[in-house]
Amino acid sequence: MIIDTIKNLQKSIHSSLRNRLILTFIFIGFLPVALFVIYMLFLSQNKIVQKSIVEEYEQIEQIEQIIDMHLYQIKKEVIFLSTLELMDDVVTEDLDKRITRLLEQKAKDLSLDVVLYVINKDQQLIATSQKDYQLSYLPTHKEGSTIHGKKLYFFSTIFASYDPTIELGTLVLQYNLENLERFFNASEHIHVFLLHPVEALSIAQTIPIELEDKDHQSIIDNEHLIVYKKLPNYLQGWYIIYGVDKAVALAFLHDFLHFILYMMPFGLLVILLIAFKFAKSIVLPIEKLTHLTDNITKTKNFSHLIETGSDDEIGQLSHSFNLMLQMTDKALKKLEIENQLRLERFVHLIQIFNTIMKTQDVDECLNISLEKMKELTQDNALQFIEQPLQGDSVTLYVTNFETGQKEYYSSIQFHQQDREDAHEKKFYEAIAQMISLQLDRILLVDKTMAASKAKSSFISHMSHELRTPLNAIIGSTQYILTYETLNEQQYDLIGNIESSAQYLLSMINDILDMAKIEAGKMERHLQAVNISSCVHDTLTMLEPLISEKDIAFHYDLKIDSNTIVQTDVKIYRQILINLLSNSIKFTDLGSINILLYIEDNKAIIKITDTGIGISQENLQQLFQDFTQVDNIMQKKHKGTGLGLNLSRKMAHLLEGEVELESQGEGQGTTSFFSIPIEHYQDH
Amino acid sequence: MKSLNLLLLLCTWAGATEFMVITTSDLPPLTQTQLRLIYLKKLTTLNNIHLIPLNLPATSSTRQSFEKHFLKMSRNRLKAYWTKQHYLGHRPPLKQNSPESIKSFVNNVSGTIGYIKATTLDSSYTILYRWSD
Repeated sequence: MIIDTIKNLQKSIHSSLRNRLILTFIFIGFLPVALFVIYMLFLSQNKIVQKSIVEEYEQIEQIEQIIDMHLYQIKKEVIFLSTLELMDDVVTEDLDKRITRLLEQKAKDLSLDVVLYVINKDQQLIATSQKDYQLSYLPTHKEGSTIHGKKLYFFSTIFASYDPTIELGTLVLQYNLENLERFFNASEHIHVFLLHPVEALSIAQTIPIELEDKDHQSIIDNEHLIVYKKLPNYLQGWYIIYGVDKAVALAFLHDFLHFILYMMPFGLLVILLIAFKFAKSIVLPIEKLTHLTDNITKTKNFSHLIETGSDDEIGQLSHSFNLMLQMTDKALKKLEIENQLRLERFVHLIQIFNTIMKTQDVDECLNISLEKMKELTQDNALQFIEQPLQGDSVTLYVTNFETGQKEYYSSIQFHQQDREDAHEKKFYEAIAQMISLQLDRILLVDKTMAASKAKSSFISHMSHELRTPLNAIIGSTQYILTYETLNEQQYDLIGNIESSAQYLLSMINDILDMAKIEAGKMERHLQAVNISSCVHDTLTMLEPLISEKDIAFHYDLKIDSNTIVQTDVKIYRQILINLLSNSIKFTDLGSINILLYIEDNKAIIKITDTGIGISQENLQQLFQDFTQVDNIMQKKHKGTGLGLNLSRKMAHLLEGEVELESQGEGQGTTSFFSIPIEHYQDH
Repeated sequence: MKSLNLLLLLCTWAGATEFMVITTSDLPPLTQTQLRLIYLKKLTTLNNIHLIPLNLPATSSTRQSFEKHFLKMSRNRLKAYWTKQHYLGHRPPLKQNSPESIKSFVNNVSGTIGYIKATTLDSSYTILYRWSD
């Protein structure tokens, strides 16, 4: 979850310039603050502590100096007092209490916890500033100071004023070290006190401390910054200790850090605001640019431009982008125009090809091609040259279909000199090839047509030539059969010749008809025909054939018996005979039903028989020339195989159609013959 | 000695106040002139003994009488004298507030010379002179 969030964050930072800028701003804004805070926290604290300790040393020295001065003054006072003439009263054991008064006065003046007293040479107490004072210390030297416990003794020998060689006694000042507290300037957070570690004595001690035997030392613990120093001179063995509560020493730092911490959110807010504002203002033009490019890629419209508000790098980028856009727009428009031009040219070309394709003979093809090419190239000097040319020309070749070889036909000659472009040349070569192909086609069609015509003409001629001797054979055999007396065997033979000749004749007639149709020589002669009577006549004509077989024959008429159709009655009847004779031929048992009706503006004859039928595969081949289904059948059912094909071709001549249906072999066959009745006239 | 004391008592009691100059026993008898010179600090040693004259406070009638009797100088003259002597490094005689302390001084320090009222004398001192107003 968290990792995903971090990854998303990283992704959003990496994918967004703005986020990176904001991050950079924040980093730059916060780095000094962070460094400053770290400095304050770690280095500055140390420095402040060091500085505090130095200051504490200074304080100690000051206090020490003051104490020294103070004690020196006391000492001087003692010496001074000891030199007073009044001290001669030691001799009288201060009978007049003059020394006592003086000492009392002095002690009062000092307003310190001190006791002044005078002892004589016999160590007897002569005078004291404090009544009932118990002598506790006797001086051992003539002058100086000694420290005993918390008491400091200053003493000075008293000499007789009348004879300085005579020692009268000693003046002693007992100084209580507690007096020094007044110089300490201690407070709640500043601790100043004296300590005698050896005798375990202390004055004004407020915090517990363990001292090391050093001249001076500083101790930093969790609560205090402590400095101590050995005192010289009068206070031998004593240490002065100066301590400051750490909280107080670092108060300024802590206050400052608090201030920084409280200000941090505001600082962060300000930095964030500035970062957002700057990042936005920096990224805005880029976003505009991105938006525009998106827009352009979506709409493909290159005519939009960016507003360049500033002269900075982004402004320059926008300007360059605008230039690029203008150039792209221009190039695209130019390309579009060119494309249009090319398309037009292409369409034109296709039109030319179409026109060329429609041409029927060689001269027309060449003339039209030349004309169109002139139109296309605006080269009026364009022409076909029969001699092969060098240089600016495109050569036409045609195929010799007999050899399969390409042969030179002619050249197209250019007169303009701007044919250097290879593509242009290829273009003209393509046209030339096209013309060549068309020429090929025309020549091929001509040739094929000529061959077809020759074939048809040959067949019709041949049929015609065959019919003449056949007629002679048929005539002769019929004559012999009719007029000569023949025995049974002869009769059969002659009869066989006659029927074979008849069959041959009918076959030649079929072929002739076919050839006629193919050669386009069979023409229809339309006339008004009563279609029902025509059908009826035909059926009557074929009745002998039907009666030879044991077949039921039905004829249904579902049209008006007076229906007249414009058609060629001869062809119509021939088709009908063909279809009916086929049915009779292939049906040995069952029935043949004939139905005449009108559907979709067509007069249709439907002939349904129960004959041998045709398989689906064979049905497809049935309408091809000279095809009869199956060779076995051919033996049984004699025929040219031209019947159906001929029927269909003739039906086409009448704009009609012949179709065959069968459910399969042995299932019978249904044939349809339809002709249009648009020429139908109702009398 | 006892009779002398009685005599003295009698004398004092009988008429005018009697004073006397006392000193330590190691000093020889001094003339009045010598005494005067000693109190003016012109004579400081005698027979190798350091001489220490003692005065009573200025207001003391005994001192006034002594000055009148032996120094023969008025208080003004004496002030002028000691002012002059001060600049020469000499100091006037030591001053004791009470006759008792004078007596104590004389008792304790040799060469000391003092004066007291004869009535305050309670033990034997070497008496140089006696006088009375």
